[in-house]
Amino acid sequence: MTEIVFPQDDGQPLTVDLRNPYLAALLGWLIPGAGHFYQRRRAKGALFCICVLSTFFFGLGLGRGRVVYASFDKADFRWQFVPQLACGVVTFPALVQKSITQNGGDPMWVLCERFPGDHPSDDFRFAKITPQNQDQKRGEATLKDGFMAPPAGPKVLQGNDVLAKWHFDYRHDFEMGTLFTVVAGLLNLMAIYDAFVGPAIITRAQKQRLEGAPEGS
Amino acid sequence: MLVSNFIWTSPVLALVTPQLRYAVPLVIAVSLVWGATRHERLREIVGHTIRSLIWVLTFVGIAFAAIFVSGYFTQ
Repeated sequence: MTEIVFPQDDGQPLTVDLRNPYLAALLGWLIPGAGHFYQRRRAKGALFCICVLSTFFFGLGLGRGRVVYASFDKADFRWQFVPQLACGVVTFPALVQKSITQNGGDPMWVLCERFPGDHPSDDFRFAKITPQNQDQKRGEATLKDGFMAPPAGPKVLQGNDVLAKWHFDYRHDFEMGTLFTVVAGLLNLMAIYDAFVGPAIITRAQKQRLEGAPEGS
Repeated sequence: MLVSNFIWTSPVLALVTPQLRYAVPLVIAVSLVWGATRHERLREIVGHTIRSLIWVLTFVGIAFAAIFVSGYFTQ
C-alpha cells in the first residue's frame, strides 16, 4: 500500500492511496481508467476511461476500422501503432490480425473485398468489390480488408497498393482517425502515470517558489 | 473579388469546415485529461480544464491566424 499526502492551498492535506502502483499501472494500461478504479479513485477513473476510449473509438470510426494496425515492413512501417498500443486491450485485435496475416493468410473480421493489383483494368486495381462491379472479377483471388488488419497484398513505396487506396477512399478521415487514436494512446500514458505516482499537484506556494517569488507575496 | 475571396476564406468560415470541427472533441479530451493529471478534486480538475482549453484554443488560433495571413503573401 502506498499512501501519498499532498499539501493543498486550503490547508487541508489531500491523501491519495495508490494501493499497489505497479498493478494499478498495468490495469490502467489494459483498460483505460481501470487502475484508478482499483485505487478507488472512481471519478477520475471514469473520466480517463470516457476520454481515452471515446477519443480512440471516434478515431477508429473515422478510419473505418483500418487506422489501427500493426505493420513493421520496410514499405509500410506503422510507427503510429506504438502510441496506439498504449490504449491497451482495445488494440489487441491488431496484434491478432498481424499474427494471422503475416504469412499471407486472410484476416478475421473482413470489412470488404478488393480486386487484386494485377487486374487488367487500371480502374479496378485495388478497388472495392461491390454488387455493381463484381462481374469484373477474374478468378477467385481477392484482397480482403480486415478490421484492424494491415493492408492486404503487395506493398509499394509511393505506389499503388491497398494502403494508397485507403488514403484515397477515406481522404482526411484516415489521417484524422490516425491522429485521434494516437492521441488517445498518449492520453492513456498520462493516465497510467497518474495511477502510478498520483497527481502532479503544485500548490500556490510551491509555484511561487519555483517562479522565484517570495512566499506570501 | 478580393472581398468575396476574403469572406469565403475567412477564419470564421474556415472554423466551421468539417476538418477543423474535429479539433473540438480532441481539445476537450486533452484538456480534461491534462487537468485530471494535475488535480484530485473534481472542482479543481474542471477549473484547470477550462484554463487549459482557453490556452490551447488561443495557441491554435494564433497558429491558424499566422498561417492564414502568410497565405496571402505566398499567393
